[in-house]
Amino acid sequence: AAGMDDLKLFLSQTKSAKSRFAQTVVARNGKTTQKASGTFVFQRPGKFRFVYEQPYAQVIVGDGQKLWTWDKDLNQVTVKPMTQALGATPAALLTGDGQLERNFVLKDAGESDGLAWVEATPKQQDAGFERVRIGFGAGQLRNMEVRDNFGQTTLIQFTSFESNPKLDTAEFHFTPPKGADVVGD
Amino acid sequence: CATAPTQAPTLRAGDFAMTGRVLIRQSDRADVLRINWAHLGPADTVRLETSLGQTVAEISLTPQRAHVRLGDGREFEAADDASLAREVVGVPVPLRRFAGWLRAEPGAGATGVLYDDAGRVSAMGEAGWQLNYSGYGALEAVPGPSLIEARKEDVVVRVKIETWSRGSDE
Repeated sequence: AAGMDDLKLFLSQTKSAKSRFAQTVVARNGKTTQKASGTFVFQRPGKFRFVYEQPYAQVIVGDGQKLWTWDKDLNQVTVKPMTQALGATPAALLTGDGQLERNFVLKDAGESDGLAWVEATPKQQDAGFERVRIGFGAGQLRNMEVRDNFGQTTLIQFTSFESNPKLDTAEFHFTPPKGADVVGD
Repeated sequence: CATAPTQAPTLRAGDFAMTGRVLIRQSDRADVLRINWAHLGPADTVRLETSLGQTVAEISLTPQRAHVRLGDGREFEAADDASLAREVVGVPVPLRRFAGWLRAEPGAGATGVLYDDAGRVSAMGEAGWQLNYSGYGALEAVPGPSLIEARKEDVVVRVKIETWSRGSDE
């Protein structure tokens, strides 16, 4: 089953990655309510940095223990323990420790749009989303679709995907910018 | 293209639909969420989402009721909008007044209204909240302020507007 094989390969071979991403949010009435883009870096298990560059500046860093969010316009840094924040989230699917079956029911979702798909449904009832579909192309992560419990779908396309790049450990450390207010534990 | 399951709301004068991000902070607890606010006549629909776009809460307000459905499926109503807000975001925000606050429109109970040199509201007080406005004209599609801050005691609600569509007269 292509999708599942690609996922297993991705989890075992891609220990870290660097990529650009484009995010589109489509509300249940079919209207696109948001388009954003930026860069995404991760290192298993549990370390990642999402940088939204357009149309606003927001940085989300998982350093393995804590989840940091910085929003430039709102001039706020929030920090939360990662266990409560990550667990069965879409991000965990990509950056987790590979034991996805603990938090998700995984099944092959066939091939379409030139990609091999896997569907992940959270085992937790209150996971905050209904399911995630991950699309692989030539064995590499290309797309992620997250459908929440209101019929809203987020489509994320990964481009310039670089597997196991040389990474600076500072990528997964967050230093609040000067003047930004930090709240949380 | 394919017709959408439910049509986007048609906006009349005074109506608006906005998207942006909101900070909700109380002493040492804070959340940054995406916010979509549709104000249609007497009714408001507010959707709060994660940065990745998953709905955390959908609040609907009409003159008769204040109802919320949470991302984990729980639903409830509250007698008034402030107690509903406390249930959803832990902070008693007067949601029914917030549409006016987003448009920098002083309500009947507004006090200490200050204007900038272009005659636009820069600050006001209402129901114990201090409102501050900035970023007028920062986005050409956003007629009003693009950064709104509401403070009361140790609570801060700060909204950055990204898009704003207005109702028209026809």
